[in-house]
Amino acid sequence: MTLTVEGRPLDESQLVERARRGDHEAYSELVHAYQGIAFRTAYLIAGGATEAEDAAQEGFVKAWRALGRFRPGAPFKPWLLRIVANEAHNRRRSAGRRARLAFRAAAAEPSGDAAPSPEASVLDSERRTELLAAVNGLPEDQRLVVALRYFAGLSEDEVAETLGIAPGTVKSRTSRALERLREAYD
Amino acid sequence: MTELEQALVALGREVEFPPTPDLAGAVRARIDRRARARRWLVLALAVLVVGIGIAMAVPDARSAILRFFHVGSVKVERVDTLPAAREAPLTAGLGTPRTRAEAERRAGFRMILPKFKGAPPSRYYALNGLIATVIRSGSTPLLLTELRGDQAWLGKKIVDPQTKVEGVSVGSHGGLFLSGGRHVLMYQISPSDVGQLFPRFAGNVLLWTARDRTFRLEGEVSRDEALRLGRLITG
Repeated sequence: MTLTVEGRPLDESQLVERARRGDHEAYSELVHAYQGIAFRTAYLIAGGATEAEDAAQEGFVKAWRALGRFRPGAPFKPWLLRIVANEAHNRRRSAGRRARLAFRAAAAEPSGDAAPSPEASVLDSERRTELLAAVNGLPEDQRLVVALRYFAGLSEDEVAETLGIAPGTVKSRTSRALERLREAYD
Repeated sequence: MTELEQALVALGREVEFPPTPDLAGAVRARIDRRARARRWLVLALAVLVVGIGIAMAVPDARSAILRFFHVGSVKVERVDTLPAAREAPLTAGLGTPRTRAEAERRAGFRMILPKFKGAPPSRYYALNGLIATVIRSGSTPLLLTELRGDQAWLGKKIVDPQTKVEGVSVGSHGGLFLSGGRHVLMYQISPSDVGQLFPRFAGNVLLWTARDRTFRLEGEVSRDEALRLGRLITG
């Protein structure tokens, strides 16, 4: 069975190698592939769209400059996200704010005509509102781990690399967060 | 994955994220600008001496420096009063004419010289790290100088307020074109001997870098013709 990661081009290693040799076009393709996850990661950390855009853009430019230090064959996404996250942390500290997550307008009032997906049916409207409020109420270190892991779709290892913490720390923070969230969910 | 974790994944699909801006375009523009700036930096290090050594050796220039042009990291000094200089032949101060082989031995590197129509130049001039020769555009003589990239101390441009300094592209290489007004070219014979200068007024000048070399084309030449010749020389 072949698994592909959403947003990750199949010839990523070739693009990275070309970019390392100074190919602007190849790097642009990488930026295009990862701009969505980079922006969302920055938004979760920085807490505002403007700060996230600045952080993601600066992160991509700094990553370009640092490509010479990138270890060939290593996964590019977590390495990139670590740089973006650092930029987002800097902007969050200066802005003194955090992202308060909310539902999309369409998701807040689901159509009664549409059949719910299996996943959506897991949550009724009241419980998902309470669960999101509980996520927003988590301590920042736990909230970030949960948001990056479950909302942004990063693996545990990618969360660890992005936040610059040990995988064991990701596990323990996730565990403590889930314990708190279970109270809201059950 | 537990039921709670599945619920969180489902929740994540309903969470509002601002639309992703076009980062790819903005990043591409920035790294392109940076690449151009790096070419300018090489040019600066190779030809336009940003240190103050030479300027400090010329009292008129030292007293009259008004401001710098900043093009990337390149600085071209613009002054209100040019240092003492004289009208002189293109090859003034470059020493004895030599054969190409002799000049390359003296300069310490082989010159990149394209195949021009007609007979190749027969006279070459050399300093350590520099070779020059006279080529022709029609009947107009032009001084083509090639400098090894690391010879940052060899030359300096000091321009008066009327001199136009513009960034240009010579093929894929970055450069500067200086025209109008008067500007002074000075050569320094060695880093430790700043007193031995040969200041003279220069004609229009195209400066550019390619293949770790710096090229300089000087004479009564238009910008377009200089760029055409530049592309012929370094592609």
